[in-house]
Amino acid sequence: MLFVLFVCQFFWLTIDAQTNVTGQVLSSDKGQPLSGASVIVSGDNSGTRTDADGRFSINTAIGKSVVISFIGYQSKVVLVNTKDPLMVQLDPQGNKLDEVVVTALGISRDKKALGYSVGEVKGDEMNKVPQENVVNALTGKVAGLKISNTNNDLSSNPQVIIRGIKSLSGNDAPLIVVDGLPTGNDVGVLSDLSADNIASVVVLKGPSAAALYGSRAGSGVLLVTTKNGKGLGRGIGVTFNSSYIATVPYKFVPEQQEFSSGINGIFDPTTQQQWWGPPMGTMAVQWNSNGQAVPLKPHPDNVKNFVNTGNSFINEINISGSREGGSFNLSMSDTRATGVYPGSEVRKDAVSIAASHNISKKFKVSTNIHFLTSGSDNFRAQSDDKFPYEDIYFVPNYIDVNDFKNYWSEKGIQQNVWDKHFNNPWFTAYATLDKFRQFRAYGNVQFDWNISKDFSFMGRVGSYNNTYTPTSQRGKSEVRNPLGQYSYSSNYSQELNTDFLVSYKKKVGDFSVHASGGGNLLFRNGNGSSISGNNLILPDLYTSSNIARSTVIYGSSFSKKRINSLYGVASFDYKSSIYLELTGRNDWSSTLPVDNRSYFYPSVSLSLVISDMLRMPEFVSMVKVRGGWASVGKDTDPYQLQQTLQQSNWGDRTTYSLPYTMANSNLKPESIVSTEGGLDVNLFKNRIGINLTYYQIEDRDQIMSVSTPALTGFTFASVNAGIVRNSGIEASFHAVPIQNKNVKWDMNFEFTKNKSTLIKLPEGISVFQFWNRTNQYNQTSLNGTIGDMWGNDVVRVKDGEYKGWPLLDGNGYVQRDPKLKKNGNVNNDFTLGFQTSLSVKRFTFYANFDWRQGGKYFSESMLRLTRGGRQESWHKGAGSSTFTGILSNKSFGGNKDQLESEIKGNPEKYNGMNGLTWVGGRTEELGGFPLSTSNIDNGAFFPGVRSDGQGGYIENMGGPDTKYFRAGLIADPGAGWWSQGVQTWLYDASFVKLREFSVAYSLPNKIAKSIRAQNLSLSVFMRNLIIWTKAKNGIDPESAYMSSDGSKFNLGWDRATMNPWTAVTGVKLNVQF
Amino acid sequence: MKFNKSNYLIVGVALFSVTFFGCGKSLTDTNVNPNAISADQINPAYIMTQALGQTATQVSLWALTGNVTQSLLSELMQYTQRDYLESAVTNTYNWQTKSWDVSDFYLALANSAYLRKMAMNSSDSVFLRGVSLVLTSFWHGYYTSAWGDVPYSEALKGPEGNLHPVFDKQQDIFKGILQDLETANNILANAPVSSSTQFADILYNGDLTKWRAFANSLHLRFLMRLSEKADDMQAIGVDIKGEFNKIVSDPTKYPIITNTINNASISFPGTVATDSWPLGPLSKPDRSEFYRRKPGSTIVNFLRNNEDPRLTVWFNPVQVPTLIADKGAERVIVKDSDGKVRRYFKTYKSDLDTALYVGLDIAMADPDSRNEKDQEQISSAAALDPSIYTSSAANPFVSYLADMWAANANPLVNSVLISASEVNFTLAEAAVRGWISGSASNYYKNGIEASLRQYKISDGDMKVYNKTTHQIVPFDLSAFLADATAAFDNATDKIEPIITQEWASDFGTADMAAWCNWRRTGYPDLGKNVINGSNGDKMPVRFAYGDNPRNFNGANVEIAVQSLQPAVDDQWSKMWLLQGTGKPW
Repeated sequence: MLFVLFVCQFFWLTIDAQTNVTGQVLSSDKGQPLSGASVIVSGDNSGTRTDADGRFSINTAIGKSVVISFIGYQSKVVLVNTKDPLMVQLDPQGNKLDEVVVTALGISRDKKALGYSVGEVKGDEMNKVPQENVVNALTGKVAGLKISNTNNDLSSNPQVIIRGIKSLSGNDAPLIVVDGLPTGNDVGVLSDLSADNIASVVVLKGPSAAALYGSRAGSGVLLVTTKNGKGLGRGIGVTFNSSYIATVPYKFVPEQQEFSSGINGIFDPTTQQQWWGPPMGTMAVQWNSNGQAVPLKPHPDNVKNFVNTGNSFINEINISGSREGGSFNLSMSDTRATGVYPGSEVRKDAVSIAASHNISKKFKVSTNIHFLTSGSDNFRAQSDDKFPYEDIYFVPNYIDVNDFKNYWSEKGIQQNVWDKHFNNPWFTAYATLDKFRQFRAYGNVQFDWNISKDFSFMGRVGSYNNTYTPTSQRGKSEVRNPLGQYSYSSNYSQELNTDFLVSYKKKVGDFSVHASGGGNLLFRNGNGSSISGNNLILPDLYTSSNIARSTVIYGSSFSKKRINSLYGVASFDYKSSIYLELTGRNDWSSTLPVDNRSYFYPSVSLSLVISDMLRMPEFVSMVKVRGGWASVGKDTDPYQLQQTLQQSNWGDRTTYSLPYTMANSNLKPESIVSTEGGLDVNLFKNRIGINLTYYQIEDRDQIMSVSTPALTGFTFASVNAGIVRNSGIEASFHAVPIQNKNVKWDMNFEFTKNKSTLIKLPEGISVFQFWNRTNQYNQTSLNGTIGDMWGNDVVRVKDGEYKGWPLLDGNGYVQRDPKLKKNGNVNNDFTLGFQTSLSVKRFTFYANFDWRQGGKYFSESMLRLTRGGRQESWHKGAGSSTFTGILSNKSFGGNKDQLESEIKGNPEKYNGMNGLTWVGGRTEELGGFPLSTSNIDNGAFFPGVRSDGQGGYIENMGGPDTKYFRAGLIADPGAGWWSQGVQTWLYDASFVKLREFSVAYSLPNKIAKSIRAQNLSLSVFMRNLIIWTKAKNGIDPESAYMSSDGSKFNLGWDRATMNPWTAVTGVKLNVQF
Repeated sequence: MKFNKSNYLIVGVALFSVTFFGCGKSLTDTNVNPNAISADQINPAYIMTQALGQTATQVSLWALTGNVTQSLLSELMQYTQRDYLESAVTNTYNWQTKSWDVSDFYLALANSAYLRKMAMNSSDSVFLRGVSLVLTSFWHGYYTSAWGDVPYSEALKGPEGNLHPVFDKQQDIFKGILQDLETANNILANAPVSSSTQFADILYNGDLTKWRAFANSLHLRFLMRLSEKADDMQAIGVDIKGEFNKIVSDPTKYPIITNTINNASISFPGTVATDSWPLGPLSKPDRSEFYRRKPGSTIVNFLRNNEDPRLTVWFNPVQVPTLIADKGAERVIVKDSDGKVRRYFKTYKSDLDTALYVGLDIAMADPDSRNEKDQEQISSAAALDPSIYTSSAANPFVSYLADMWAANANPLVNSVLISASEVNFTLAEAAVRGWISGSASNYYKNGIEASLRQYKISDGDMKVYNKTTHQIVPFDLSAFLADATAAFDNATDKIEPIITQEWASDFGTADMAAWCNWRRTGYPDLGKNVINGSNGDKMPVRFAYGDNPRNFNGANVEIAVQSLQPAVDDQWSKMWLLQGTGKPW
């Protein structure tokens, strides 16, 4: 608080009484008054801002000039020569190349000088539709930037990848720099910032742009600039935003309601996951029927009855001020939200302060400080073995979930549940809790000294601090932790950066040069401690001392890392039409061996503004070609060089074991080398803009943990090896088709196509595996594509008459082919973001679409629902039903000969090349064959052949030699089919989403004035509406990835992400004083 | 306070200099790991404890206690059968590949070998080297017996830069193992052991004679395993029969394990999950894991028919006995006057087993409904007696494993690496084969008695189930041995009763030894019990190479597969050990 007062002291208003001049500021395109534009008398301290009608009044003298500026418009200088009102029209800034962008190290550059592609999203483009997590506001808006979310609820954990997957060890997160302060590669840093406080996010896409940020910038940089009060004009401005967002679940993965729990048509409540029981209506003794047999009844709305409408409230206030001697900005925001998942909630508070003070014409000090707290008492993270929706989808369909809302049968001791081997979903929601507290404080102090007209110096000290305390508690009687569980961990990390930069610029004739050199000291340290155990002494008491000793696990760790760096950049331009930029940086990292710890990396880029060199037709506003080459060195995590052993115990003896990973004392730095070239064309006075970029990035000598054969003594080895080459095309198209007094329509397309190829692996290793699950392998072989999915098909006949048919075992079961087969790739073929906004008078319509085409994902959800017979269809075309096979005993009126000849005659239809194909039915009515071992006629078979033991084959195609088994086995884990013919469970990942949609209405000025506001607007919006998915199985393909530890992701794996689809709608009120 | 420009400048430069140049701490110091000490500073005896503990755990996991993909041999040897969701792969032998990296399996061997490397820094270096040789021989023998050709000469040399070890020929591996065991016996004859290393030795507390007996007993195990390939071994300079005879005839130079108290047996402390019996609640909080493996009818019927007391020690009686009696309806579940819940059928059916101890039949199409089980009967039985288990994998009409197998630690439940019982049976077989002198019949009897002693069964114990009266009666040791001896005397092939009794005593811990014996001799004839096997009545003879070697050492795997007959990497192909033997099929 003291600080706030201190800052405000700088900004007292002085009144200087001279001549009173009035005027009005209008926009040249729409003719609308611009409220809040700054009007400053040049060479003077005085200034003001326009009111809601764009009018101002200022004391000045005739003969002086006033500078009128407004965000998004070009400033204008007007000479005051009469006392008449000044009518000033400001031209909007279009998609012009004389725009300035902030690049590496905070150096501002003309866009047209850049030899590489950078993306930029302005604060107001991010703020149109409120987001609980501001990262999501970037989705689809920058070509080459891909953002994916695990779910649409509060626990969404966005993954950000720039220009594709480069790292084999999963470290693809960009470096996040907030107001010049590197904070590390955790995108979570942005999740707690207030959207309203963000002035812009610049995306430095490749090494060319990011080379100066060094080791951690190899995967690109998100350069976030928060508001600092500059450019506001003199005076104090207050903005207030208030939003309410409702998240309404509307679509659920369907489960079948015709057959209840059991196996083989017989009711069995203990086989909760198996819905191969009798039809609904069958009489059965149930949990609540007091030993009487009563009819089984379906409950199709269990999931719907379980979830809530989520509510979020976001309130933001921003106070800023500016005068010639400096500026300040104070921002506060508060987010409170409850989720769709019952009981889930999160809260966030952000306080940010920015201030700068000009000590004199030559010296300036400035600071940015952010205090961000967030926390939740019920957070539904989705990782490892945590799948919030699994338990509700397990509830047997003959049970009404509402009957179990009272989830304790004995408070704190025993949950109220129909079978002790499963969790009551309400118990899961309210007694199986993950909580966290997080506090981030970061900021820096910067000192600028303009030594002379040509020389300047900047020195800066910044600190980033993060305290994260997650806890988890499991009530007694939870299935995995029957005695209860508690875990607590506390993690602190800090990064200190001290840097300086000396800059020199000089213009001689048509040449000018701008050179900077500097250095940085990075010190990163962290520590953590944890304690956990799965046996609580007293029920319902979650403290570390309440854990029974025999189960306590505890630990602590520290880590430290330093990087010292020197770097320089020089850019030259000739006639503002040819630009050349050179950079170089040398790092010394503590994490590498002495001999390899120093590494240098350069970059060069060139920009040619053709339209300034050649004569162009009138409609061409600008043509530019650009190209760049860069290299970035990269170090590794601390303590990789020395082999250590793992400590444990055997009773009261201490033991040491080899760890899984073999250390390597000869690691070298990685290098990421990129080349890119592009073309920018602006037409029709910049009403149309086209940007094309082709890039190729190679991540070489990657320091990675490679899988090794276990009989080397280790299953992983830390080595320098592997090259991943990413190449891709980014294309942006921007157009303003209509722009007149009342209507402005603009549109923006962002197209990305990327391919990641594995060029090299350590000698002798031919495959790199990212993850595997039930014989689905996300792995890439040499010269293959990152993201390839491999898996086991069934054994097939290799040649002869029956070539391609499954070779069944003696029981007529399919067999697993040990050889892996490539079944697809998890990456999209391309993505296309499309934003458009239409302003008609006081209304502004805005929409942001995201189309991601192609790619596949493994749906373990579909697999599990299918093997349990819990859904009717697994959505893979004809025959993908758990009720009836592709054909059945009823096909052809029960004529078996016809059935057999149909199968035999159409191998491509029945040999299951695209996944398991079966013939039969669940019951006689559904086409089951008679079966001797079963009480009901639920016989089924896999079309194929069996070996006759003499090198020949016996047909298993419906003829007399066919071997039948009960239909429930078609996807049963006991039969193991889920690990063979695994292509069955791969789905197309294409989708189109309406990421953002809003209608804003700017209220008439007199209404604004009535509350003494300058501007008042109201908007309604919608978010993340899934418009179309190719797979049509009720799963959101975007969420088909698994986070294993919150930062590494297993792409293309839907484990149990059965979050309902939601309609996110809200309203937002914006007031500016 | 009035600051002028130069004040600011001085303060600024001073502050900046302090922070920028003041942190000159060495980069090398920064990268010293504060969370662990480096490997070369660790007392290697602690690595021995780990190698022994992991060996105990892995032997148990691969025998009886592992998950559905680990403990395949228990179903194969028909000791157990699975029901409840997981039966079709395991019971019907429709196996998948097996990888050495799964659940740390390879680490038991890796740490055993690492011990040898680290022992050099220790005053107990000779002892630790001997221990390492014994343990690595145990594991290399396990690996090659199960897969065929495996990495041996180049195994565990990752730190020396070998990331793609070649697969050695099986005969060469056995030759190496036999040499190592000879070396171990020699160097352990005189090896100083410090008291801290004695304490760390959770197997024999530093007792050199016992370690040598362990080494020599393993030596006998592997020699016998090569019985059908003696000629091939002779060709590479190994005299199977001579070596066996040499060991047995010089007990001073070659002590062996003949007494149960010298069993290579490691007990579980049971304090945390990692040092507990893997079927105990600390390791498997979900108790349905325990119920999912049920006694197989082959072992149950064998023990039942012989009135063998181990039946009642290893297995529980059915919770609800089935009897044939007219109680009105066709099927009645009642609580009798003695407080026991029983099930009565009016008419006998062929699939009913009315004994108190009932096993699951082998490779049933529908093991879940064994002995006419259905959910309704479980509910009505449980209504009469709440102690009846009703959750996942419940079948009160079939036996469960005895409670001792469900504890974190139990004096009778240990990980036995090799037992006196096995050694005695091996000697009996050697006597039959004429490799050694001595009475085969006596060795055979000693083998049976050693197994009884292992489970603390004494004459007169109330531990025998009488299958006719359904009563538990006292154990008559001499009558029992007399019956067993009669079976031996009456057998045409004396090896059959020996291997059959050895198979029974291997239950729970030595499935691998039983498997190797069955493959070598075809005894006992297990194939005839298979109802619904995926390859008829054939049963697997090896493990297929898993994903880890296939993916990361594929070229060498392909070469190894060529040694198989046929050259197909599955569970049906014969490795060198079985080629040309005509066994087990």
